[in-house]
Amino acid sequence: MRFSIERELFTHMSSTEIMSSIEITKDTYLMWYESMLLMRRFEEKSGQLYGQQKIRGFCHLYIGQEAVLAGAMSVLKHEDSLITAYRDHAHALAKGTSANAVMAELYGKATGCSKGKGGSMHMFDKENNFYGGHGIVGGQIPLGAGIAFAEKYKGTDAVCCTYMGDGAVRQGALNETFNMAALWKLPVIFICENNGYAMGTSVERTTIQTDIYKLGLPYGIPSSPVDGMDPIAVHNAMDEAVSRARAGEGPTFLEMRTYRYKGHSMSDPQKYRTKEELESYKAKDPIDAVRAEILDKKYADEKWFEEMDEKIKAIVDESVRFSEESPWPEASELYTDVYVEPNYPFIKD
Amino acid sequence: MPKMSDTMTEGVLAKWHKKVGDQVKSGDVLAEVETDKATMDFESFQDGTLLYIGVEEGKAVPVDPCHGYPHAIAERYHDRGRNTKMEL
Repeated sequence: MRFSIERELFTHMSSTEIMSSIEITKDTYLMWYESMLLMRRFEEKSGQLYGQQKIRGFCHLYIGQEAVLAGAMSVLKHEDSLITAYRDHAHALAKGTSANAVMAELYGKATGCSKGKGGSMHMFDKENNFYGGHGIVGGQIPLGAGIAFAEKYKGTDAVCCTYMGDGAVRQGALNETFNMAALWKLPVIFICENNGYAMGTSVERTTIQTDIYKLGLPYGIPSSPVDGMDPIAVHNAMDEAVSRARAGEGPTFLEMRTYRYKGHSMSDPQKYRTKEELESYKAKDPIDAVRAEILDKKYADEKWFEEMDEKIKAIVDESVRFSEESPWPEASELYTDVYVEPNYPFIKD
Repeated sequence: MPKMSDTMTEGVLAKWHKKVGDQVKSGDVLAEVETDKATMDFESFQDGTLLYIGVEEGKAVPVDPCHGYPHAIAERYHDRGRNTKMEL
């Protein structure tokens, strides 16, 4: 086992009180189940469609990591921004992009959220404040701080959640960004989705300091590990981090300890980890755990789950039908969205 | 035959993990397939019973965009009691 899942409490690094606290209610649990199930079924369908060559190029699935986003969804507001790397289909869904728009983008159709020009790794949604979808490892880290800088400059209380993987934290840009974000108290929450492997390289083979959250400490950023398989732990950590950011107290660094059930991308035979390790994490599956909690607390009955299964299946099936029937982008679209200035002189007819 | 890597053109059925008559659940490994890059586990996307195996061990099959599966047919059980034959 590469590390044990610890249910760590978020340790306070600042002495100020939490300004607000978002309660976890019955509706929160039901929302968590529905959103995680949508992410799961959508990603399963994407994997299947890749085998059928409906989706081409790269495809990085989020299966297993759903709790990391569910616990954020119950805390964040529409105005808050989100930016991540290329394992981004679920982030788009979490921010409110329709399954139709995400699936159509995977297909490369004109009705996709990036007009069919981005594909799996470049989901964007301006209306929902989702800034993508980035292929360069760690490239999104300084961008996320920049989005937070803009919010502070404009005097809003919106925050930016900047997601990265365990491989991305090795980028030099992380250090530069952390220093500036802390110094200028930018309203940014840095979130490392640590699933233990940067493609096929384990965290242990990458570094001596395997507690990734400690990378924030030298810059004076309150930092903590979080059980990323538990939406409650995620929610509580996000709640505190977002409150701090909104109150002008600056960044937080959260290391979400999570796991992806599938390979890094579609052609990964996963020889770098054991089946036993995979099974041990599947035993902590967040969707199963939330389902058990809902039944235990009698928030819903079996019939509700059956109806939810049908509802999610219908949404995913509809997104496939929509994508199949949507048109491809026009050839003329090669020349649009390249430059801000219209009629840029170097684009010839 | 599903496309399991971006450059794959055909797959060799290295080993069946299930036989005709076996109950199969979504996520179970049906077979191992050799691709141009590595030998990959091929998982079932459906629950059901494996009714028919169309590809013997050791045979190469071209990547087929229509079906996406190495020619096995399973009967899919729906929990409302409707049985649907699906070519996997």
